Amino acid sequence: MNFALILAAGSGSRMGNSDRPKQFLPIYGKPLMVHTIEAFEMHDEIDGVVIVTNESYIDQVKVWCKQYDLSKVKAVVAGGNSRQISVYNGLIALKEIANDSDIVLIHDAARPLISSKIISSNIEACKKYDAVDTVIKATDTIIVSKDNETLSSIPNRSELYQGQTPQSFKLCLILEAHEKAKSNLIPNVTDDCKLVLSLGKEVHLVEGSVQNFKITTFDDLMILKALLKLGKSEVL
Amino acid sequence: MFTNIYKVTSPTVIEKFVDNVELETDKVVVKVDYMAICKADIRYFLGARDKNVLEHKYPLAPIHEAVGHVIKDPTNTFKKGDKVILIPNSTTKENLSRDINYRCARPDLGSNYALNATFRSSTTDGFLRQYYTCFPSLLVKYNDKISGEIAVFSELLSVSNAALRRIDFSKVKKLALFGDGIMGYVVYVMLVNKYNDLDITVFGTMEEKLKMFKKAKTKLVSEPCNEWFDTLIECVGGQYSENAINNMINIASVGADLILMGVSESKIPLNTRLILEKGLTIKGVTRSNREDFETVASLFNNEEFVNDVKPLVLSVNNINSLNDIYKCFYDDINNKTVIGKNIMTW
Repeated sequence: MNFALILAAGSGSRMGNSDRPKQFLPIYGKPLMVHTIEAFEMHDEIDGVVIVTNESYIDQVKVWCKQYDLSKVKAVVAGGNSRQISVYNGLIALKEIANDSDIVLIHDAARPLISSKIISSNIEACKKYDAVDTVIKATDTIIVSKDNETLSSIPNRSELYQGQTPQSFKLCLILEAHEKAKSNLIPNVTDDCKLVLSLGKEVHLVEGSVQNFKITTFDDLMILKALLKLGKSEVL
Repeated sequence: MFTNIYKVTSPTVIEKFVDNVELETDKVVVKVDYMAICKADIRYFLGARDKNVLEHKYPLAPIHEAVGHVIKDPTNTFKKGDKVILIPNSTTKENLSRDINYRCARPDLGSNYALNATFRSSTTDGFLRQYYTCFPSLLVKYNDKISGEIAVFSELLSVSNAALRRIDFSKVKKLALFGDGIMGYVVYVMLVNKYNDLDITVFGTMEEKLKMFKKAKTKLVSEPCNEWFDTLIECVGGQYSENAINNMINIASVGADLILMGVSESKIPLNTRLILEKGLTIKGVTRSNREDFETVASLFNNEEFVNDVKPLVLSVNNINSLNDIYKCFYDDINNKTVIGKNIMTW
């Protein structure tokens, strides 16, 4: 079976003065995260969804699940102080309902433009390789600066990609990676693929989409709204 | 939920849009699986329509021939996973009750003729999208053993069925079908599967194409014809409509019925003297209604019918980018010699 683990526990600190984290901001009358969950809810190959969210929002998220008929949501659990802890909490909840060989797609709630194609590609590749990362080719030149003031190096762009989500794994593999990190007191890794790489396992790449961008700042929100406004053009 | 929809924004330009799909309690959510390009889509894509008309149409999502499967149905009309044909045309009871539309109640006509009805990829956005929501009345379930790449021809077949509704088959002795293109072929498929003892002659311009009409007599339009026909169906359209319809008038027997199905953008001169002399009846056919789609869905249970439709699938193309969509449009535009379509799937 295939499960989505939706990360909606961010603080939204880069959204300026908003009174709530970005994943809860209303877009077209419903919270941003609901749009994201609906993409998984509507996908044929997704059997269940686990949501990790801020503790103070758990009851509210449960209400939204009923209100928007998100019938695939199996659990809503509290996140932690870091992304790594939030993912781990979600995996522990998932372990209760899933088998070791099941696939888990870990996805940011703040990426609402996830396509069904990317979800399908993740599942297909994960069945074959056990661990996959969604990426797009880097189009801008990436600069490395070790002192934040001067240019240290310019890596070869043809080898560079930008990471997106979902990142998808066999449940037993990602749990093993997290438990190893926990026992080694590695507290704050922001990328699950990095944890899997540390086990000496390969992670395969799946093509993402520029459209699958993360809503992090107000500028991102503005781009999303602009995209939606254009997309609502009516025809006489 | 956010999803993508693809629209023609100006001649030969298709753009990707983000659409907000509202999940409503009275509507079914469908994942669109297979799509086919119609000549009308090509006209919008190439900008081959009156400039004033196009200015009001763009941006417009093309495609009105599509099938999908049910993702979610709060109305409990369908089961999750049911394969469905998407009906592109709809109208309201209020519209049907208007004076101008009152004859839509006739069984040989139907709601598909109602003026001001909406039609996907013409008056409202079409099906070139991944998800679609609609009332359950705009979906028809079909046999799940039938591949979507074949079922996607349902709309075209339903229009053929609408044409057949205009004919009183108890009075047909000899039927002439003009047009060796895809419309001609699907009308032929409907005819031979619904009325297998009919005397049918198909008139066309290309011998290779005429070979596909295996269960009918065929004739090149350039050859002299000394026969008379009491029922004649035109499936030519475009600039060749004029020749085709006047040829039909020439070989029509007295009191014959002429059914016109081809769309011509320009007005065409007809031999009205002969129409009057022979007392001919000309009937127009456009689009189809729900009952036509249901007829097609039930015909998919007939293996012979399915085998007749199968050759229309020229290729099945995975759409991963806008370029893939362009390729399918140009493949269909450039195909002048083979009857069939290049099907799109996500």
